[in-house]
Amino acid sequence: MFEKLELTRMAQALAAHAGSRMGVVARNVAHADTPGFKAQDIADFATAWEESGTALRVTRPGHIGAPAGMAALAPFDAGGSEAPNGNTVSLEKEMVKSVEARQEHEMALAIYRSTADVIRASLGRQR
Amino acid sequence: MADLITSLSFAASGMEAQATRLRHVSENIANVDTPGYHRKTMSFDEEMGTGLVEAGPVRLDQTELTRIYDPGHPLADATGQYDGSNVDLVIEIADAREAQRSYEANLKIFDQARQMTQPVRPAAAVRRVRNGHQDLIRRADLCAGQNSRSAQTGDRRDRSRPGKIRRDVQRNAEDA
Repeated sequence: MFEKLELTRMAQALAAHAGSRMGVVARNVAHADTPGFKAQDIADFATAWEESGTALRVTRPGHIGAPAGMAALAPFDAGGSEAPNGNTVSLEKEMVKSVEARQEHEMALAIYRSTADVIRASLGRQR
Repeated sequence: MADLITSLSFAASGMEAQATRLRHVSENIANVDTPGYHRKTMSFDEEMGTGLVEAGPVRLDQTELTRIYDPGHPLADATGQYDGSNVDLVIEIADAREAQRSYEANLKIFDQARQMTQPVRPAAAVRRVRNGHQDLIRRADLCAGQNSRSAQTGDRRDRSRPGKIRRDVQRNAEDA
């Protein structure tokens, strides 16, 4: 039932996006001292959601449209200044990104939880 | 969820690699006065397939050993000099600091990823427990109601019980 609501689907996609961003950040930080490693990043949620939303346009709401969730995001080179050993990871930038991902994740969970509460309230049960 | 678990293993591999590096640094520092010791250096590498960090092979720094003048030293040659190590303490300390900084960054990411996996279940579990407790409290109240009625009719056997149950249940709910 929860999968059919646009709101919960979006929250789910947001949480998934935060998770994959966290994965990319963890990889970057782990390779902070690996010679020749290039820092990576994935597209932000707004872009990713828009892309997945406009991939298939439907003329009627009943038609089969875009698949639920987003396509897997391909990491790209994030750029940045290069160290003498060819590494482009900046620990400070990665910290900022990890906090962003964390906030994104918490927001998604909060939305999901409050949606569930609304549904539960409409069923007449206790929160 | 799978991404978060991957994050954990990435951070863990980073920490392991940094710990290995720190071990080599401490070996170098310990051997700073060992005659003929070449300092160990190592580099990180990407593991094939998984992409995790791995500590590369240890290489010996082939720069010249320092010549130390000490005619009384058992290893001194005809000129009164012997080969010391090529360890530079300043470089080693700087390396140790860098390893520490990277290790802490990895630890932070590990902690964040772990915390992100936390709120998924416990909140629901806590709510369920709390609902259960409220249910018990309601039942205890019902019992109390019945018992006060039975008390009026002269049966005083269990009058103190419901109050106690209620208190216990409330204490448990607060603990939860």
